[in-house]
Amino acid sequence: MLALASDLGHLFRTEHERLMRGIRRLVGSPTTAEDLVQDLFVGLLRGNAFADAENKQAYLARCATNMALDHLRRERMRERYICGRCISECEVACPVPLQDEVLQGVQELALLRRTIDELPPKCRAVFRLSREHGLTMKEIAARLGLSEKTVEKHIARAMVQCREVLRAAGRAI
Amino acid sequence: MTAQRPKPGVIPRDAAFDAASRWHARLREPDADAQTHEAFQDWLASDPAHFDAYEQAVRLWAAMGPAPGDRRDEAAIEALVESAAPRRRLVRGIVAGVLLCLSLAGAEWVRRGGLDDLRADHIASIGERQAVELADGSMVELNTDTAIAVDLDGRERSVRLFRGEAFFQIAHDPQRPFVVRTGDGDVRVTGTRFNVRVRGDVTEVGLVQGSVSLTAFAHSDVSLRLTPGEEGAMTPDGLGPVRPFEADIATAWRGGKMVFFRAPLGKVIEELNRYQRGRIMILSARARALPVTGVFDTRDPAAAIDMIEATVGVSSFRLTNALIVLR
Repeated sequence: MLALASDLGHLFRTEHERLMRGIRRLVGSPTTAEDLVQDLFVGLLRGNAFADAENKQAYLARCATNMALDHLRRERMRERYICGRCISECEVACPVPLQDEVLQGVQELALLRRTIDELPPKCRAVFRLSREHGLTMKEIAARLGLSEKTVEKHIARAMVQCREVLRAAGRAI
Repeated sequence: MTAQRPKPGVIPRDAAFDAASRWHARLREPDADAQTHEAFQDWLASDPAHFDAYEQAVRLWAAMGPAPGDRRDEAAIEALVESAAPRRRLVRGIVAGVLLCLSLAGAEWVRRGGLDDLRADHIASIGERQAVELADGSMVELNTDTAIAVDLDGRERSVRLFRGEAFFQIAHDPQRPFVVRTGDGDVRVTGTRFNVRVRGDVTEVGLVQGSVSLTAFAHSDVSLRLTPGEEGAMTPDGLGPVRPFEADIATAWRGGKMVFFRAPLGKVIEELNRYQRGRIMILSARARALPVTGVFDTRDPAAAIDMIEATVGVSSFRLTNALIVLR
């Protein structure tokens, strides 16, 4: 535990500024950003994952991203609670749907399945390998003889297509 | 600048959603580094609509069904990989011919890599050689029974070598590294001349000029950099030892020749078999070890057999049209 703390202490000094820059742009207030970075390091002290991480800088950056996103989500929820109008009047147009408005139901799933089935062969294969089988883009690129950029392009194309189909069917995501 | 709240009624544009889907994919990669995360944070901060787009991508992804399990369904994965064949129309047209082929010599067809052909952009058949010029100015020469697929679209230029042997002369492009992928590993280059041979489950790479780096899938955290005149190998167990590479002998095929200097007959026959449909078999261990020296034409394996019979001290007889036995 002691060794980990000094490890972290060193990391805190070297990475603090870098992490702050990223989070501060996202959350606005420097004090909030400072709080978040502190929370991050406290969390790391408590857990084991940091000690096991191979690339500590990448792990830290990933934690910072997740914290920033969580913070933005909480902000959004608070906003929505205050803006009472949103809940009843904004439907497909509202950019802040509640969690339980998220897609449910056999119908939406069937629609998505059909959309994926109708994609061009390479695009479909790439997307299904990623979503259904959990292959990384690196693995998919190797197995299909494509560049990672092309794999990324295919995944995005599938996602855009699915979103289009849902919007056309009047469903919010 | 801080991320402000978008007005109600604003639907994230498709371009933002496309970018968000890409970020979502990149962040899912286990090797996403610190720079990637910082670039993502910059992207998030640069426009309020980006956060919404990203959240949509997260929800859409989650809504597609259950998360993949821990154990991989290799059969399903392989089926998906096969289904990514680029020329579907061609497959439908030749199904009848392919089935006929399979019923006559199914195992032989698959052994010769028939399934790969459906994915390949360029194929040299048995006994054939082919020179291919790529769109970036690189030249690839294919030897007998070789199939490759080419992808110059992305951040990297890549060629997939399914089977056989090819000689590469890669146009220099510092912005875009070139990689040759085989079943055993990757060969990375920037501008250079080298030979790649897939022999069973081993890939041999000989460097003539320039610089290449080999990475075997079996141990992908280790890379080997070759210097000209060296040959390395990528195997199912990782990287093989470095050997001297005699370019003149190993790449004589580019001029339609095979060169042997006191090579054991077994090895010579193994090479001859690559250039013709029939098979040559050697019955005795004694015969297999006999040294052979000579230069043979790859287009005329029969003449090679005649010369070997005359000089080495073996006799041949035919079992069928396609099978010659030496002893």
